[in-house]
Amino acid sequence: MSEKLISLAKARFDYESNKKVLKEKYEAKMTFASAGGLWKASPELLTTLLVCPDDEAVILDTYGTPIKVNVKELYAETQQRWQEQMNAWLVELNSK
Amino acid sequence: MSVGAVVIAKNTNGIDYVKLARWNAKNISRHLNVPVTLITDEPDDYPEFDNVLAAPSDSEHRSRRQFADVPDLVVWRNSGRHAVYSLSPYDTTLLLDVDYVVASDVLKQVLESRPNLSCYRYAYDVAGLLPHNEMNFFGSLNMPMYWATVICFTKSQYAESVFRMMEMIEVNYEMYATLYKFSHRPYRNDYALSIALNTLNGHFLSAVGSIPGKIATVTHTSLVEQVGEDCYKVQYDKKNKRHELILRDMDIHVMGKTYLEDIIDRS
Repeated sequence: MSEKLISLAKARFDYESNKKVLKEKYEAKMTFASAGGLWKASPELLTTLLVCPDDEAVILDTYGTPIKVNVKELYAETQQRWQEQMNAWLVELNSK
Repeated sequence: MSVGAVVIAKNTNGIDYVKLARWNAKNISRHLNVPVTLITDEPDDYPEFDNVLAAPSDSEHRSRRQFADVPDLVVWRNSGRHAVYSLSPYDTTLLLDVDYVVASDVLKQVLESRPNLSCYRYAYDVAGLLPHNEMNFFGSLNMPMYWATVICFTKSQYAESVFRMMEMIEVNYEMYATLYKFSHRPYRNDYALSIALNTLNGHFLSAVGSIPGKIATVTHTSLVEQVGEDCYKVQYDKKNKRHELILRDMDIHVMGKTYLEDIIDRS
């Protein structure tokens, strides 16, 4: 029993796996529902919305379904979620 | 439109699935704020659930399986999942395995998007020990695996077709195992779901819309314990040394059910 306890106490933090897990964790948290679609906050989505010239546009959500969206509203939601999760990701990564 | 979660729990000789379901129901309610229904063959007045429904009887696919965290072979009662489509009292249902620990609101977003049917395409071992292909493809044809661990569906013609097809695959499992070249024992819901989705999407492997992200999996060989609310420590051996990870505020699929039972007993 004591050997097991010593072994557990000596467990080393797995930085390599931690970095990968945090990437998957925060990428999952980038997902959000809006306008009847499911979106992933990302630089790609932000750029797509930036180049839409009109107030409304039809773009594909993560299911590959075309959704009519209000460009400004979806951009604001996307940017807020992306920034929040990126900040949280940085904080958690640096806390180890 | 009603929205809720459903968990299925059928106790076996080795594992108290109802206990796991009751614990997880509290997590689901806390993070997703939706009603939870239990489908079980041991119905009782469990306060954690909004509904308790009687499970249909097991099919012939009641099999035994070896888990690394359990010394003996345990009975694996995973048949009949297709019945959830008609049993669920909700228009949009989140069907979860009892060993899927909800520790974030990620699935709330999926529920709000009201998909016809969506599940995870990929899973990964948080310890990085199990190879990607081993977890995400099956059979000697390397069919893409769609995980039945989390399924979100809205009652619709498409979702009904998927569950009916799963039923057909379960009834004719040996034939499908031969066709897709995988072992016919034990019965795997993941395989039945994968074949159903592949078939209903015209055999185009990339045509299935899945839940974004991957299932964070703690395999049987990793030890997991709770170290705080929604915070779990995972320990495992890698390169002959004991390593550990902290998983905080993220959903995890804990394959070692006995570790979950220990967590519940200590909480």
